[in-house]
Amino acid sequence: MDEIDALRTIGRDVPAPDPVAKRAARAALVACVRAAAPRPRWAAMRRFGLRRSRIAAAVAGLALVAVVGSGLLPLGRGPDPAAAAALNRAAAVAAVQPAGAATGYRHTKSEGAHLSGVGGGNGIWALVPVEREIWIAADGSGRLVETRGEPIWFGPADEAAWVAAGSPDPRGEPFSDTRFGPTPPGAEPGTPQLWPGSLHYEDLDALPTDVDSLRAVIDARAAAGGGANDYQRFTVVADLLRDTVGTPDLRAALYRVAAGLGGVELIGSATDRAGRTGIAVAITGNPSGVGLERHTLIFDPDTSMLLAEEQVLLEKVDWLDANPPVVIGYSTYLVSDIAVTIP
Amino acid sequence: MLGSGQDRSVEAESDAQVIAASRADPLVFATVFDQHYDAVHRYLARRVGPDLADDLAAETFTEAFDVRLRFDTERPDARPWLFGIATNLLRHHYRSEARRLRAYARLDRPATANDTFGEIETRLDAERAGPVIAAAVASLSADERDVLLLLAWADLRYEEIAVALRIPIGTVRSRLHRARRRLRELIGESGQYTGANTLTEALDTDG
Repeated sequence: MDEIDALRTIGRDVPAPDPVAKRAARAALVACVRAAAPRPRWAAMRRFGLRRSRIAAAVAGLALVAVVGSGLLPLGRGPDPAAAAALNRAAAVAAVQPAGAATGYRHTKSEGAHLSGVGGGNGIWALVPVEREIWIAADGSGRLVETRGEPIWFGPADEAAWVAAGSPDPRGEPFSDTRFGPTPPGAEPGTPQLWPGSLHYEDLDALPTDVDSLRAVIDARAAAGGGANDYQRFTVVADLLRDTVGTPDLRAALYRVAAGLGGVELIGSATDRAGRTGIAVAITGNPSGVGLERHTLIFDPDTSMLLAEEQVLLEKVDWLDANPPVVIGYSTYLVSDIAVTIP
Repeated sequence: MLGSGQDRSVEAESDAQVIAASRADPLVFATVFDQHYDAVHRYLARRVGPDLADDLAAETFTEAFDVRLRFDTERPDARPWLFGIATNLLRHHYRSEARRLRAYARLDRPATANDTFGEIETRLDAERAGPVIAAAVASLSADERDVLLLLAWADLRYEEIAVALRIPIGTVRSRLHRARRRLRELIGESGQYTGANTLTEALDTDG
């Protein structure tokens, strides 16, 4: 036995990871992934003060959404007929809309805030608001402008811990304005790619608009992204609806897929943070094993465009110092069109 | 044994595929966490203890996600890359590591206490040599210790250590050679630590 073998014996009885710490770590990663996803998810800083007061009330989502429809449905139910009808109506609206311009830059502007670890891995959480505007060409080139606000605290304990940790800036660059070149040669055409130096571009035209085929794509993405369950499928649908400059046929198919998901409930008429009225649907689940969440979408029944979304934590968890229900993420989609040029 | 890392070609293949897929679907990256969190945590816990390992393991994966575009998908196994990130994070916590090594070495006793090492005679008995080795490890340079512990505690091969630390494989070999020679010098023929009057003094050199 040599010194390396002897060294291997040291600390070999180290305990297995604490399950609570592991779940918190996974939740931190998922939050990081969601925060970094090059999609609109964020809130405007100019309404930050208003949001702060709402979040401090810990019922921001409930206060902002004027519930007219049904209450929560039990988990594991099949499609809710009322929700399915609303979603199918949105699909019908989309299906008769003309296709937009095929060239130019996909342009989106959004506001929101999302759960972020702000203590350098020390389990300190806050909502970090971001305003984001993106222009993306099909070759991955474009421009990304982001403005990040001060953290919105769930309670004094997180803020105090953050100060004790030296107040690390969770925002990176509070303001960034970056222009990107095209995707390097070698990328497979027609597939979504994220390359160094270029923006995330997904060729929405390449997605099937046949409902069964699209459902298969969504199933695969849900399985890869966290689980083959209806909550995850709902999230994938939301991911694709955020790019509302996709074709109307695709949007129609997405709403029809959502209409077939179990556990989706009709919330009813709702007003988003930009003051626009739409129809809200929601699903409840525990997607990452870190607590029961409700994911709500608000769409405009007249245009079928996604207006806003929100995630609310519904139960008390040991990794977040906040009393439920508490908003852990929301986005308002303000602009979604095709731009001829980048300003 | 040196270079005795297990063959993980099957799961390693899926690592590369997962990370490549995460460029389009970022949430896919959670699969990397599911696959490797326990191993990364175990390595970190051996070096700095379970509590700090909780934080550093979490930070390893968020950092990995942030830099995933730099992952070379020609390399099928993500472990070297992840252990490299974890090792880099450890660089801010060498005092904690020194405390951990002190714990391994049971520093409430001086190294010369016969009741601790008296039964070690002509060969190294791994169980009993552990505290001695821990003290010796603490006396290594940070670079040497990283290479040594990636080999012994993360089960990486030479070429994987080179990837983890982004250094040439020749540098891995030379650092390991120096580290092992230093260990043998400090441990001595009897297996008893010979580098300082007490283990505390040896370990304090790095703390």
